[in-house]
Amino acid sequence: MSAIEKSPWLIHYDASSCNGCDIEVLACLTPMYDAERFGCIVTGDPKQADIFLITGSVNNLNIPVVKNIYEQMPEPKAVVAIGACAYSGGVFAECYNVQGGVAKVIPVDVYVPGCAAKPESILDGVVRAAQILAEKKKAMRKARRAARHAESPAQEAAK
Amino acid sequence: MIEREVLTVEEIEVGGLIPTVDALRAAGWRIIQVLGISGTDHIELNYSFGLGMRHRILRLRVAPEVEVPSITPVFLGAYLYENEIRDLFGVKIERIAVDWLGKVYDPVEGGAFSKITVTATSSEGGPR
Amino acid sequence: MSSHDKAAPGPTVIPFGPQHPVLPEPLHFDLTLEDEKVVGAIPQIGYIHRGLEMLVEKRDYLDYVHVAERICGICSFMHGMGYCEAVETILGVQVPDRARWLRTFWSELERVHSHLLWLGLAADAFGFENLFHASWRARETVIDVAEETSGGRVIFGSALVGGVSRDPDDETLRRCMKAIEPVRAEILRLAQVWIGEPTVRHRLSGVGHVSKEAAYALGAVGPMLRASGVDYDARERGYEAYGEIEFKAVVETAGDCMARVLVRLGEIEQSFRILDEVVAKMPAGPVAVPIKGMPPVGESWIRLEQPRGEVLYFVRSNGTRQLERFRVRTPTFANIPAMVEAIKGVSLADVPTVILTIDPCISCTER
Repeated sequence: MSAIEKSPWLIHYDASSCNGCDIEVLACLTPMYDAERFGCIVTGDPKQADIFLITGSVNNLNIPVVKNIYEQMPEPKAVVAIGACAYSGGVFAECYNVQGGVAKVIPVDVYVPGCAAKPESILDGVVRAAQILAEKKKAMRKARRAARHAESPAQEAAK
Repeated sequence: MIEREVLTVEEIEVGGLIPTVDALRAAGWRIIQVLGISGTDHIELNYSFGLGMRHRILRLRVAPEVEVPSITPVFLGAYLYENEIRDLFGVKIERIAVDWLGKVYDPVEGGAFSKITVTATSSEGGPR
Repeated sequence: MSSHDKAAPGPTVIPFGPQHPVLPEPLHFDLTLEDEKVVGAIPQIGYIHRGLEMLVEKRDYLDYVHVAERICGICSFMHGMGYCEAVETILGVQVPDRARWLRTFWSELERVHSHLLWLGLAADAFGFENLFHASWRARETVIDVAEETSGGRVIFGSALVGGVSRDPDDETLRRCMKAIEPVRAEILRLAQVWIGEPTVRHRLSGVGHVSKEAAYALGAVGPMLRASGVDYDARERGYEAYGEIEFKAVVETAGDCMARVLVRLGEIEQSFRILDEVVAKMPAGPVAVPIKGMPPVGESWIRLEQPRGEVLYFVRSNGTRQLERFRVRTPTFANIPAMVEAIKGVSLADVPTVILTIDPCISCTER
């Protein structure tokens, strides 16, 4: 178990949800559901965040904001798309200003179902995202080690 | 004691808008909202004003090319509604006190609520 | 981001939002500052605009209530109810008594949970973490009652054209009222912190002032209007069962952030009293009348009092199953001009507090 899995930092952004999922995300952080027992802290700074909790669908105005937050987050990172809107647009899928789920803009690792998603399932999504983070971190290490190994024989030979 | 809600709708012309609104302001009415409804050849604007439980609506039908004066000099709080209507319905509202220059929603298609151009191009075959 | 001018004299423009730690929802301001003082603010909305008013042209008018409930996740039941009332007015349908009282019950429950939610967020805005968590813990009990009676935690899903879709029995309602009894004591305790704690007073008293005249002229609604001394509460219209319930609008006169807190604290207490009365007087009988066929041609205007203020629904039917136009003018939309007024003159550090005290609900504002 790596440190990142034990204490993932969260960032929350409401793309264009109805607020129902957002207040449930907040409910997760308060004493009843208490995501902090998994070591989570909510941060407002994307550069400190490991898990991106996003609710709602995307539109012209918020696509740059969503991309911006995602790109500022350091690797490894995981995205949790919360609620039906974040998956497909939900009940608003047919609206003229709804372009669809967040997967159109950024890669999503975990989908949390529900309209509105229940705090229990949001917590589940966060815990899974933490596992995915750990796997990503492992994969990154492996890749780095492999790269080093690939380099080192050549360096040895040069000596 | 419950005061009964009284709803009145009155039709006015573009020229009569500002004088009527001025009179309402002087009589102590407050702005509730401005609503746009798109017809096939005109836009209907409904200005709602409230005084206690009374609710008064000024109804204005304008052709798309007609300029409508902004009521923000009288009711400053109307700027959001007017910006919204200009963006979504394409109504020409002139001299709004706080002007977003058509960037309130930045929707996928401009004038999304207006049916005027839509019906002109796709009147045949469409369900509506 | 604007470039750093070399100690340029005169105003500086600072962008605030859309993604900001204190805002659960995206809202953007261009704040014009002179030193630390805000002299002007231009709001920018539109990040959550979906265009759901247009959806009414594609959905069956009886199904649209599910969309109406999702205009906003906090006042969801009241949005569904307002839409239903508007459609029922066109149809000329009389809702059964029990449905009227159940709607009142859920409306007030929603007001309590919304105000508690807001108390927490406002406390968080000026860094009082403890108060935030305490308010939200109290809120969870209210949410449990909502879930038990309606089936949903935040989106109740119990609004229905012609009545309500759920019928909790009287025993359940009484048990629920007993379950939220401890919350009332907890809220009184929290109210003491809000009113008595000098650090809270320091952040709220005299901050973000809106005069009675400005609030009225700018079209402010709800606690924002009542905190400035205007006695107006749309519940006095007597819709649903409010005509048969004794209550008086909670009005404060100071017009600052503290007054807005006091109005909402008063309203929580008032809502509990109304809930008591509703459960005691709950009539027996059916909870819905069947609705069949097409709505007649016509239009209706409905005004309700949501936790954030007066909301207006307009529905126009053209005689088909798809309505011609649906419009909702939400309270935050009406409150934005007054909020801009309140921000002017405060220091930059107080901006989050002032924004939060109008209880912004951006989702319903932008629809």
